[in-house]
Amino acid sequence: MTSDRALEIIGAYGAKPVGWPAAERAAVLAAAAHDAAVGAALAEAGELDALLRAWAADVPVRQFDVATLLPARTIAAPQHSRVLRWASGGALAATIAAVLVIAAPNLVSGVSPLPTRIVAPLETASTDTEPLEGFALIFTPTADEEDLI
Amino acid sequence: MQPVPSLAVPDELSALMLRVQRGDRAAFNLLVRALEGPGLRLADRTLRDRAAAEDVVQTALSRLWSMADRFDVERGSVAGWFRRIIVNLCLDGVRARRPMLAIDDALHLPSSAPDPEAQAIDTDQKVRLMAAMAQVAPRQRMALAMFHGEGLSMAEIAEALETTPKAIEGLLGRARMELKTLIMAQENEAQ
Repeated sequence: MTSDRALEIIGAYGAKPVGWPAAERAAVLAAAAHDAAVGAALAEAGELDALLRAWAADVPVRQFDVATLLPARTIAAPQHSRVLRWASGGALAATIAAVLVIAAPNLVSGVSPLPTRIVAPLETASTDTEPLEGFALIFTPTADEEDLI
Repeated sequence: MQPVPSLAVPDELSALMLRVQRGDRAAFNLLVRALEGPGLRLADRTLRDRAAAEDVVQTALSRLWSMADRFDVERGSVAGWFRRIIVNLCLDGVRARRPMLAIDDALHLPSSAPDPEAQAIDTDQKVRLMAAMAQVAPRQRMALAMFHGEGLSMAEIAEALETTPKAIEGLLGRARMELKTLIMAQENEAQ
């Protein structure tokens, strides 16, 4: 192991060997014993470790009220297999089709095509047509409306 | 310093979560008691704002119940899932709020050290650390809190932050280096 890697591990994980990567632990300890820079880094890291442990733990404890944590939720429906879900969907569709055939046969067998009506397009207002004339083409007043007019 | 309970007990907690999925409120109560402390520490250390941290944990715990059907024990532990919820809510909170003052909020910290001189030194160090913490990125604070507070592995932290263990190693290394530099700069200013 290089000194740089040993310093890297101590720099990231701190001074406690138990936190170091297991595969590199022995090599880091050996480097600390033989390399003054690594040994110094190890000693220095211990101070920061202690500060960080205190920092991480120094949070007042609070118990949350469980009753207020229970919003309404929808319990998921039991998970059936995909085949069963497809089968139930198919059965429903078949049932609806059968009811339609029996109860309203005309809808299925006697269906005549809807009468088609060709609707001539309304005359568009041209530059020489007054707007009211175009309006009259589509508005037929009732008798009462005629009186009013 | 009191020992910090770890989130890393997935089997027991995930078993509770499976009961929660079936609507078991007693199991939910146990799950809340197990996760609220670690969740609050992570959110508080990340956001540096107690009220915001409590809101985050409240929301995250509530989601354990309301989104229970989304938990899949085969995809990971409930502790890991909960951590990811906390992390995402914290990052949302960080994005949403305005920048906070770095040093002013860290000036008056209580200490349990009995000796006045030791207390002064202890408080001084804490103040400098807190001020330095305000300067590092929220993701760095998260990684530091999970590693030094909860004792999580690089893999567990990587899962929570959705990255690789190698990236977490780099993140922690940079965070510690920045903290050391910032603390030293404060000490030099004080002298």
